[in-house]
Amino acid sequence: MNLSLVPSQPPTPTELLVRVAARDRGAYRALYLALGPRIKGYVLRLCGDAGRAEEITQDIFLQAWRKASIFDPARATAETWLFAIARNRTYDHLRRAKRPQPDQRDPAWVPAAPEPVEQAVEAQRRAVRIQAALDELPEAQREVMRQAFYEARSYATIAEEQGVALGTIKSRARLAFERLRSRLAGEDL
Amino acid sequence: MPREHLPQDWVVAWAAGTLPPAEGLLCAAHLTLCPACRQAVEVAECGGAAVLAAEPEVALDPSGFDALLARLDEPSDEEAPPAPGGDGVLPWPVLQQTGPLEGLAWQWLAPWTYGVDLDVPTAGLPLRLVRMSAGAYLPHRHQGAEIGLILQGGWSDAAGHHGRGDLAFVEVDGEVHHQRIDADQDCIALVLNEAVAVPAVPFGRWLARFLRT
Repeated sequence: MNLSLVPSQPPTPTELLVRVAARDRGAYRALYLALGPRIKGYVLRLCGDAGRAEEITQDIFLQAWRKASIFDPARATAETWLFAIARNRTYDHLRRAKRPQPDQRDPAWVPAAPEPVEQAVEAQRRAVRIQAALDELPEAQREVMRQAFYEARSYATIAEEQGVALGTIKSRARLAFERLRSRLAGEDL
Repeated sequence: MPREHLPQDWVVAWAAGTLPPAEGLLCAAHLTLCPACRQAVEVAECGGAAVLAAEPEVALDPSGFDALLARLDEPSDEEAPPAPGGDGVLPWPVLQQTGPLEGLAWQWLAPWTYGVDLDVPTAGLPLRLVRMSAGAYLPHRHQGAEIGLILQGGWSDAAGHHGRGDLAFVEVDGEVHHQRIDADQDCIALVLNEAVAVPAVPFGRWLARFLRT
C-alpha cells in the first residue's frame, strides 16, 4: 500500500502550537481559526460585550504567541494551555487586576518528586479520557461543572439561581471532580 | 510535602478563575508549596478545556487575524513579571503583598499573637499574616470558620500536628481549640477568619473586647 495516498490527518491544535513556538505564522493562523471562535465564545459569556470579547480574544492569542516557547506538549494539550491563558487574561481585564500566580522561580517553590518516564501522563490521552469522563457525568453534575468553569459565578451564585443549598452545590461539584480524578487514576497511569 | 490540602471545590474554582481574592491568595500560596495540589489543578484545567470545547463557536472579526499579525512584532507593553525574591519562607504571591519578612510591622493582636493585615478584600476580618510565639499555649474558641496556611513552624491541636504548607480548616463547633505552638520557632501563618477568636481563658470574652479585629 502506498502510504502517501492515505489522506493525512489535519494537525492537532497541540501540533500547531508546537510549530507556533518555532515562529510559524501559518500554524498560528490555523490555531487562531481552529480555537479562536470557542475562546471568543468563552470570553463573551464572561464579559457580555461582543466588541470587548474580540479585543480580549486577540489579547489572548497575542499572549499565546509570546509564551508559546514555554508550552510543554508532554504536560498539557494546546486546548488546556490556551484555556488557562484565556481564563487569566479575561479575569485580568474584568477585574483590572492580576490574580497572584504561583511562580516556579520562587525560592519558596516546592518541586514535585521527579516522575519516572513511564509514569509521566501523556497529555493528549489524558484530555481524551477527561472528555469521556465528562460525557459520562449525570446532567446535573455536568451543568454545575460547566457553570463553575464557564461563568463568572461563585458557587454561592449558582446555588441561588438553582434554588438549592450551598452545601449541595459544593458536593455536586466535588463529586463531579472526584469522578474525573478517579477516572484518571483508574487507568494505566 | 503538606498533608492538608485544598478542598476540591477550591481546586475547581481556582481552575475556573472564580475564587474570591483572599481565598485566591491562600490558594496561590499553597500551590507554591504543594505539588499534589498543582497536579489536581492541572486535571481541573483539562476539565475546563473539555467543557469549553463542547460550547458553540462565536464568529471572529474577519479582520481580526490581520490586526493580530500587525501586533506580533510589537514590544510587549506590559512589564515582564519581576523575578520572585524572598528568603524561601513567604511564597511569592504573599511576599508581593507584604514585602519581605524582616521588614514587617507586626501589631499586637492577642497574647503571644501578632499580625500584619493584607490589603485584600474579604467578606469578614482582614486576611492577615499571624505570628504566634514559640512554645505558646493558645486555647481559644471560634465564632466563625478559620482557614490558616502555615508558612513557618507549626502547631499541634486535637487534629494532630500542622506544619509548613498545611492548609488547616477550623469549623465553628463551640469547642475550645487547644492550640500549642511548636517550641523551636515562632509560627507564621496566613489566616482568614470569619470572626474574631475568643481566648478560652478566665475573662476571655472581656479580653476579646480589647483584641484587634
